[in-house]
Amino acid sequence: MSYNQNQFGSTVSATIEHPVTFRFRVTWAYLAATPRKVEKNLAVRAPAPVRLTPPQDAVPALVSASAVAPSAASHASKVQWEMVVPKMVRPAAKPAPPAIAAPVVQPLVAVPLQSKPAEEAPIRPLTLFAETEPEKARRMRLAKWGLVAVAVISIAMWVRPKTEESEAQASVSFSGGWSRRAISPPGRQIIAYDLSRDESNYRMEFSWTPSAQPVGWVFRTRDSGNYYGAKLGLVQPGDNSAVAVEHFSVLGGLETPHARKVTVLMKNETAVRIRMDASGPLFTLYLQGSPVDNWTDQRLPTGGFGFYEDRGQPLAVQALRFTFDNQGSLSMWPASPR
Amino acid sequence: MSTAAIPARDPIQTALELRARGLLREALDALSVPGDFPADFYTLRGDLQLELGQTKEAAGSFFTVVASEPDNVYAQCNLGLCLRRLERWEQAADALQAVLKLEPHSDEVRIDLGDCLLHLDRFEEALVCFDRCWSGASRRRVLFGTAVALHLLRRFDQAEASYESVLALDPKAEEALSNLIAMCVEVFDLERIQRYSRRLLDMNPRSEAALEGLALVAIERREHENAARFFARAAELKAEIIYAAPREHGDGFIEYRLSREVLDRLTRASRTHAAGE
Repeated sequence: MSYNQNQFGSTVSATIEHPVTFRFRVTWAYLAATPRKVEKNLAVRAPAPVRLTPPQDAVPALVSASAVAPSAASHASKVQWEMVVPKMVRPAAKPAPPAIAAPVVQPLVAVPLQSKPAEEAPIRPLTLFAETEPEKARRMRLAKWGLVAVAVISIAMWVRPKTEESEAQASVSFSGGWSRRAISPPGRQIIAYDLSRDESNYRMEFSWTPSAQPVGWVFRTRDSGNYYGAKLGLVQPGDNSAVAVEHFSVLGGLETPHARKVTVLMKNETAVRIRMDASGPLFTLYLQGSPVDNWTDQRLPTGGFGFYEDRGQPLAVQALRFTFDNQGSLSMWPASPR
Repeated sequence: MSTAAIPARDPIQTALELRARGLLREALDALSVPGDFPADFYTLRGDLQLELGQTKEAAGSFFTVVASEPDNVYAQCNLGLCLRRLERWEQAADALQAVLKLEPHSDEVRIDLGDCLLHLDRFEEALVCFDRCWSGASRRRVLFGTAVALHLLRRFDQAEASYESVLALDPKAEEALSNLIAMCVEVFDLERIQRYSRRLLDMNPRSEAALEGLALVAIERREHENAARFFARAAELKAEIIYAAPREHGDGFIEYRLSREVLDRLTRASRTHAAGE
């Protein structure tokens, strides 16, 4: 017997007619589960990643090649980039992923297939007042950023499916830091940009012509059995109006269930611009310049990026470009293999 | 406030250095001087006041910034945060809406705004606000906010589905279950009250909502021993509230009142049970 039988005494002796009331409240403290915190070392105007102007390149025609094909360097590239330079350095102790940007597409129909739900969005960094930084050092840093802000190159690449014979090869290197190799699960190959191997934060941008053939890419690739992947394909073959985006991870050679979202495109889209930002544990995927999905995953903090193709599913992407996020500012590197 | 000249460069630098050394109060003192200062001065002062827990004063500082720089997202955002902490929902909502005009895609801000709108009983607007959120990372909280808005709009079927979605994503979301219990009490669906209460009790054996829900169901089914048992456990948890608590107006809750007759029955049942043991 766990309760005191005399405990109702106070109510029995009460004079009111209904001495006891159960109250069932509707509450929503859950909304404030991760209260936004005003951090130290703040800045007035946080640089918002949306300030990066979306690529304005025309999608070049497909160029056939046996592997990753170097395109003519982007003489025609008219991409305008706006460097977003924080006023001062953010505190190193609190790396803050960038804010989520702009949805223009209608709300998505989300089909969460992941066993683990997405974590809360990191708090948007609001920084201006950093620790005091010497003016000279700041100028040096800005100058450095200016130097690395090289022209962005649009390339076209078309990777033909590999045969069984080629799958036996552990790795095939191409010029410009690209290589092809087999990864888990069996039958899958990646075309990796090896120079990104030790990177953490970067942006991938490319275009895909809607077709029955989906496009898949990898990021934070540690090795053949540990990487993240994403895929974009038509929901129904022949119908360009809706696409499904998926992301997944392969850890220890085992592929997790795919988290999938379906989004509606404008009719008769001839090309879909895809942008994938990896920033710390936060990943954001954009289609046609609008964010369609974001999620967090901390299991693979570093690793390179590239594309993948499953058996019998050749890959075709265009207008490829990469941007590395270096020390809080975005710097751009030519992406095409030379 | 002037935004052109920077006559107070020194106070800002001094304050920054003091803050870097962890001397927040001294840093704030350095900014507590009369003069004509730029927006950064007031922004830093607001930051320090927030860090020192001086929410009301911080709101004043950020308001000063916003007054001269209405497009200052950071100040607007922190003004909204301060006002929300001060439970000045109407003003907080205004500030957050101003932020959203400048940053229309921030789900964090939109969720905060939805929270304010719920407190203001503007449930339809809150629902629209949550509907506009888009990011996967905010999905759980958005679903929860949506569920609460639907609940308070008495769109119970949809609310239940949304709460269940939250639970599918976050099986430990106790608040979703306690709200479901409240909702089912409102429609007096004993079966569901029992089901959700049991789920909640499995999750948290000390949940008042679960114990009261189960006590309610047992009372209604005239299972007095069970009722007495759950009632006693609930009473142990919040004896000071459960007995004839004064009614609070304007608070969103559903009441289930126990008459003296019911209490007598529970008391008798508990005594019978004790004697049996």
